[in-house]
Amino acid sequence: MSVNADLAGRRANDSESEVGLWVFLASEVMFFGLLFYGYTITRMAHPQAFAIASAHTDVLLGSLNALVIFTSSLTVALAARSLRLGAQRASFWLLAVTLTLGVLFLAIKCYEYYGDIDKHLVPWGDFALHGPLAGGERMFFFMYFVMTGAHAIHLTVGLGLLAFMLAGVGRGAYTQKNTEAVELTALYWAVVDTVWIFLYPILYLVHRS
Amino acid sequence: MSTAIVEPALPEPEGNYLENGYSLRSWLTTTDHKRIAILYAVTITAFFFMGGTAATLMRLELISPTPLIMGAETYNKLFTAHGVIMVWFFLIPSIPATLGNFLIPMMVGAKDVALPRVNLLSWYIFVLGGMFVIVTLIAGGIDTGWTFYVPLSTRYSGTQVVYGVVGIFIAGFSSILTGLNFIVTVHRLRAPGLTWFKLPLFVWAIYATSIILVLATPVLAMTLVLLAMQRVFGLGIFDALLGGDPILFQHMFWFYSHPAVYIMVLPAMGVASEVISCFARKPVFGYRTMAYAIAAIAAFGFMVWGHHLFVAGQSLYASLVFSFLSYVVAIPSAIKVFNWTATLYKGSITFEAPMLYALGFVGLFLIGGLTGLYLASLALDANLSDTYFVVAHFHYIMVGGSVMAYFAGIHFWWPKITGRMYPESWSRLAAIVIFIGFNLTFFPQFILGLEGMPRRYFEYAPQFQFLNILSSAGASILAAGYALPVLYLTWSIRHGPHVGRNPWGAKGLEWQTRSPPPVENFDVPPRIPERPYDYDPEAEEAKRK
Amino acid sequence: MTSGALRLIGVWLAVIVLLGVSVGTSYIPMGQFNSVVSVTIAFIQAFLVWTFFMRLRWSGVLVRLIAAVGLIWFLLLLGLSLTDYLTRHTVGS
Repeated sequence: MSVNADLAGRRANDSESEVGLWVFLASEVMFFGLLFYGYTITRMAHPQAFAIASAHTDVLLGSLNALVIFTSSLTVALAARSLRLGAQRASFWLLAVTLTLGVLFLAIKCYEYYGDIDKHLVPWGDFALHGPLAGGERMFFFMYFVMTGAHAIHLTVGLGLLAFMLAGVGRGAYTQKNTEAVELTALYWAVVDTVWIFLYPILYLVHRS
Repeated sequence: MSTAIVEPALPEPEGNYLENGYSLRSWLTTTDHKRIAILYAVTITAFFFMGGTAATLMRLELISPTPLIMGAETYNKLFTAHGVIMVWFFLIPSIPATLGNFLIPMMVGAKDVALPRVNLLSWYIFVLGGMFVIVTLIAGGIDTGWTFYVPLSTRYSGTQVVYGVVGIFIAGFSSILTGLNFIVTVHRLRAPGLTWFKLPLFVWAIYATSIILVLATPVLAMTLVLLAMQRVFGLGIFDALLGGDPILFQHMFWFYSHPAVYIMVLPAMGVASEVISCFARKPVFGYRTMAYAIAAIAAFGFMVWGHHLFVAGQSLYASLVFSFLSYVVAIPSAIKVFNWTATLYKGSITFEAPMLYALGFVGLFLIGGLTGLYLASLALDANLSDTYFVVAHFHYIMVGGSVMAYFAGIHFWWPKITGRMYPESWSRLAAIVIFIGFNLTFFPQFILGLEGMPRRYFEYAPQFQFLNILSSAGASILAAGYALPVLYLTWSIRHGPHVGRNPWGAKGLEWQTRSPPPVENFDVPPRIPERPYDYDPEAEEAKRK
Repeated sequence: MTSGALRLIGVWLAVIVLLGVSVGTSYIPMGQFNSVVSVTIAFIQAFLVWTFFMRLRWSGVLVRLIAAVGLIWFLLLLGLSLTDYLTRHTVGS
C-alpha cells in the first residue's frame, strides 16, 4: 500500500494500515465515549434511580458474557500471533473459536434481551418500575439498551470480519507473509472487548449489595 | 499590474488524469484522488446552490416585516435547510474533500492517498447522506434549525426530523473516512526528505482539520442517535419529563459543532497562506509559528463549546471557564492574521483573482473573529445571543472567510486541475462583486443585532426594515457574484487558453508537474526544496526595478 | 507453547481474576466506593488488553500517541462538562 515510503519519523512496526486502524479506533473511543458521557451525566443527577434500575439487570448473563468476550479477545490475539509465526492451522482454529465465542455472546445477549422484555424493563413500553424514581430508572434502561445495542452492532460487524478472516486463512490467502488483515481484525475485536469491559460494571454492578 | 504567465502547452506524449477514461463509469469507479476531488466538487456545488436558494427565499421574505411570500412554518424550514445543507453538505467537505483530495498527495510527493478505495467510498457515503437530506426536503422539510435543540426536535416538531438526522449521520462517516485518509497519507506517504517543517501550510491545515474530523464527528453521530431514539421512542436522557437534561443535548451537539467551525476555517487558512505567499512573492512570515498556531486552533477549538450555552442554563462557573478559553483560542487566529499581513509587507504584490479573494478572506475573517470576541464576553453575549449579531459574526467567518478562501483556492489551482486558464477580468470582477455583495448583506446585520433584532424570526419590528432591505439587496448582488464563476469557469474548461506547469510561478511540489497532472501525479520524482515557500523577494524586487 | 502465548494467557487470566474481584466486591456494601472499585478495575483490564492483546507495548510512538489522544479527548469531553454539571446549583443560579 505504501507508495513513497516515508522515512522521517517512522518507527519499526507502525505500518500504514496500523496507523490507519488506530486512528479509526480513536474515533470509536469518541463514538462510545459520547454514550458513556451521557450515561455519566445522567447518573450523576439520578444516582439512586440508576442504582435500583441496575439491580434489575441480569448480572449472571452479563458476567457470563464478560467471560465469553474476554476469552474471545485472547483467542483472536493468539490467532494473529500464530499466523505471524507461520502456524496456519492453529490460527485457523483459533479464529474459529473466536467466531464461535462471538456468536455465543450474541446468543446470550439475545436471550438476556428476551428476559428484559419479559420483565418489562423496556423503558418505552409498559415499564415495570414505578414510583418517584421511575423517570431515572427509565433513563437507565434507555442507556442500557442504546449502549448494549451499539455494542452488539459493532460486535456483529466484528463477526463478519472474523468470518472473512477465517475464510482467508483457511484457503491460504492470509499467511505468515500476509498477516495484516488478521492483525487489524484482532485489534478491532479487542476494542469491542474494551467497550464491554467498561459497559459491564456501569450497567450490571452499580448496586449489587 | 502583471497578469498570469500563460505559457503555450509543450507537446507531451503521456496522457493526464482527465484523459484516463471518458465514460461515466470511469468516473464513478475511479480511485484517483484527483477525480474523486472533482466528484466532490460537482456534488458540493449542487448543494451550495440548494442552500443558496433557501437563503435567497429567506432574504426575499425579510424585505417585509410582515408576511410577504410565505408562512412562518415555511420560513423555519428554509433556515433549517439552509443551515443543514451549507454546514454539512457544503462547508465541511468543501476545501478538504475537493482541494484537499486533489492536492495533498501531490504536496507530499505521493501518487495517491493512503487508502484510495476508502476515498471513493467516502464520496458515495456523502452522496447517500445527501440523498436523505433531499428526501427530507421533498417530504416537507424540518423546522428545528440546523442545531436540532430538544425538546422541539424530539417532541414538539411535526417535521421529518429523523430522516434529516439519518442523512447527517451517514454523511458523518464520509467526514471520518476522509480525515482518516489524510492523517495516514501525511504521516506515511511523504517523499523521502520531506520533513514536517518543509510541508506547505495547506498540508498542516488539512492535517489538523483531519484530526478534528476524526475526533469530533463520532460525537455528533451518537448525539444524533440519542436524539432520534428519543424522538422515535418518546423518551430519552434529554427528556425533562423524566428528569433528563435538555441542555445535555446542547453540550453534546456543540462539542462537535464548535470544532466543526474550525473544520470549516482551518483549510481556508491553509489556502490563504499558499495564495498570499505566491502573489506577494515572499515566504510566509513566521512559518513555524503559523504551523503551531494551526495546531493550537485545532486543540483549543475543542475546549470552547460552552460559549454556545451561555444563556441556555449552563452554570455561571462553567460559562466563565468557557469564556476565558474562548479568548485563548482567538490568540493563534490573531497571530495568523498578523503573519499574513507581515507576509505582504515588502512583498511584490499583484492582484490576480486568487489574491483578491485571499485578501478579502483576511479582512473579513478579521472582522468575523473580532466580533467573536464580543460574543465571548458573558455580559455582551447575554444581550447579543440569538440576535442578528451572531448571524453576522458567523457569516463573516463562514462566507467572508471560508467561502472566499475556497474561491481563492479554486481559482489558484484551476489551471493545475484543468490545464486551462479562466478569463482574468471576469474573475476579478466576480471577486469584487462578491466582496461588495457580501458586505452589503451582512454588515447591516451586525447593526440589526445590536439594535435587538432576534434571529430565526420570520416577522420583525418595523424599525428594522430599512437595514433588512439593504441586507436583501446585498444578497441579490452576492447571488449574481456567485453565478459569475460558475459561468466563466465552466467556459474555460473548453475555451480557456492552455497553461504550462506553473502559470503563477508558485512554489510547491504540485507546480512541478504537468497541468493537468498525469494519473500518478509526477512523471519524475519531484525535487524537494530546501525550505517551503522559497520565494526570493530580493530577486523579485530587482526584477521590478 | 511459547513464552509469547503464555504471556497472553497470563494476561487473560489476570483479566478474568479482576472480573471475579469486580463482581465479588460489588456484593460488599461500600456505597459509592463500589463504583470506584469496579471502574478502576475496568481501567486496569483495559490497560492490560490494550498493552498486550493490542500490542501497544511494542508499538511505535505514533500509535501510542493516537491511542492516548483518543482517551484524553474523551476525558476532555467529560471533564470540561463537569465544570457545568458540578456547579449547577452553586454559583449564581
